[in-house]
Amino acid sequence: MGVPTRPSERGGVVGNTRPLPQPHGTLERLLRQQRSLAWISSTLTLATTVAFFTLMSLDVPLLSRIAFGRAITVANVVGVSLILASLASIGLFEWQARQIEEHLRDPVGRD
Amino acid sequence: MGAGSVSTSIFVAFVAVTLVITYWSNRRSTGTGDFYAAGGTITARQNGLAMAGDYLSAASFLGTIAVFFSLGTDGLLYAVGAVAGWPIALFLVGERLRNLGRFTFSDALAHRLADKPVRCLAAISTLCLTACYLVAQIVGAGTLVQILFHIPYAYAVALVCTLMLIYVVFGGMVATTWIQIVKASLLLITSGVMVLLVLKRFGLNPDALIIGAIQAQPTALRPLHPGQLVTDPVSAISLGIAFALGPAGLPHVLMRFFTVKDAKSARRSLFYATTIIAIFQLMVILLGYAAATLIAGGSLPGGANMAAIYLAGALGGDTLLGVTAAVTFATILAVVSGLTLAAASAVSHDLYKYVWKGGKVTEAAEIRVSRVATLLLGIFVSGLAILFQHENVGFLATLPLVIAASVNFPLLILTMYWRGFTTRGAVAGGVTGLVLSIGLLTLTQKVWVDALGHSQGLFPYEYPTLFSLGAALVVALIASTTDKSERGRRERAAFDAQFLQSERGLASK
Repeated sequence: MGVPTRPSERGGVVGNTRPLPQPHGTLERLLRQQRSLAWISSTLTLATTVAFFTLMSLDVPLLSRIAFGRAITVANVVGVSLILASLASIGLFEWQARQIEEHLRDPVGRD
Repeated sequence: MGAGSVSTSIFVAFVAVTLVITYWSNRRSTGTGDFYAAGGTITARQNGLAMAGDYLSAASFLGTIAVFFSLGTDGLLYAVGAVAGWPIALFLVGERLRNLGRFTFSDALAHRLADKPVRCLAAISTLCLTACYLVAQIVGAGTLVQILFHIPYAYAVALVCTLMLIYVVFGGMVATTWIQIVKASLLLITSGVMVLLVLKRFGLNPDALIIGAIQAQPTALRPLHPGQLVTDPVSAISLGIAFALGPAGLPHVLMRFFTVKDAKSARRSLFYATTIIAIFQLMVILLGYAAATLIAGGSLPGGANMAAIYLAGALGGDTLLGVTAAVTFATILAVVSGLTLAAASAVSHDLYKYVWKGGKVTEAAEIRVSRVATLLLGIFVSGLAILFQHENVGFLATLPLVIAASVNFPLLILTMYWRGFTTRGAVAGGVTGLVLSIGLLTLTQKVWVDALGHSQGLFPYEYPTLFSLGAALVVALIASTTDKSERGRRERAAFDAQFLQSERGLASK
């Protein structure tokens, strides 16, 4: 598996400039975890968004039920929760990405 | 000082600042790297703000508040939808696209696939998408300026297009980015002030706010009950998919990944952009219910889309109304500039340089073509905006997300993650997604009947993403797996190297 040489006509720097690291244990594990996290989080985001939209279109009675106080409905709580969940998921992904960056800075000490 | 003079003063100040930015950008720009990608000098935080600015259009601000104002809880669909696509763009596309491309997303497509067909397809999809987005935005801007500044519609359109052309032709990506940063900051500050005024009036008690909305809403509406904006589940699924997958395929957003120095900065840009958009949408939910509470009662001059502007007036008098109106106009101006640059880049970088000239052109010639394309595009969309002044162009605003989710997103994901994807699959799947997304949307009730005057819609749902994306994926899969050509074999063999580069970057050559 070599370094790709195709499209040389682009010139300039493509991508970032760090040397290509050699695959080894910890890095491989961290990258695999990151890929899994990315796909699981994306699938969950897509599924919850589509489910929320579908239930809203059907005016499911549960969504109009009061969750807090006299007027805050389940739909309001779920909507705000989905936005907050998006924030939490990007926080988790960023934390995971920083683990990989730290490993790349000090690969020997962490292996 | 009346609302009109406040908005005029702020608008004039905004234009003056943006022209200074354009002049400064023009002096420091030297080549295509500066023109398309600001020389990679934008920091992650700045880029995150600019990305959020690209996405937080007037439709996002005015449209979502308008839905809360007129339909109550249904406004949550737009607020939640506006955030949904950004984590997916961060998880699956951000760093990888930055590691594979240079100026436009088609650079990444052409990394292992054949240059000409995929760039041609990406450019056509970009042009269709941006033209629809531009016309919708410019019609909105023209109407807003006409109401606020009391000038004829055609002059308002000419003003918007002239400023847009100046920014892009002379300032390129550097000017467009900084204008977007200024505008996003203004929009966030204005919304923040409005939220503080709402909280001051109602206390930290959203319950009281929603009770106010229920009491103020006309009895015909059911503010606590959704199901009035999108009425059938198939359309709801399609709209949800467009919101969730569309942002990762919007060309003017994808171009921003190349304005930072490396993949790490691209990822962090997306992190900041998502955070800003999420916080903004939480504020919009509060403002939406506040609009339903404070300005309910009969129809509004200028329609429900002006609810945010009248809410500002109800909260902070003429001064805040004027500020909000000017900021809204600045929002449209900044968004159309970003869109125009993306469209011009598709013409000059993809069509002219790679498809027509086979990659052999000077930087000066490429920039010259980009500027000419910008001018022609500006004239074309301003003509369309004048032609469609009295038409309902709301449907055009949904088309970009549908095209992005049906064409650009699947192409990018398949080329990045599926070894078996080939040029044949990309072209077949991309064309299917493009034709179906535009064709089926044209046949909906909203376009075929409401805009084109036919008696009955030929497509029974409001949005086609479920069908256009589904068909694009199936066709891409079949065309790729049945591709036994030598080129297809080479493209599959190049996957491992591309995957490694997309994930880990490549040493400078």
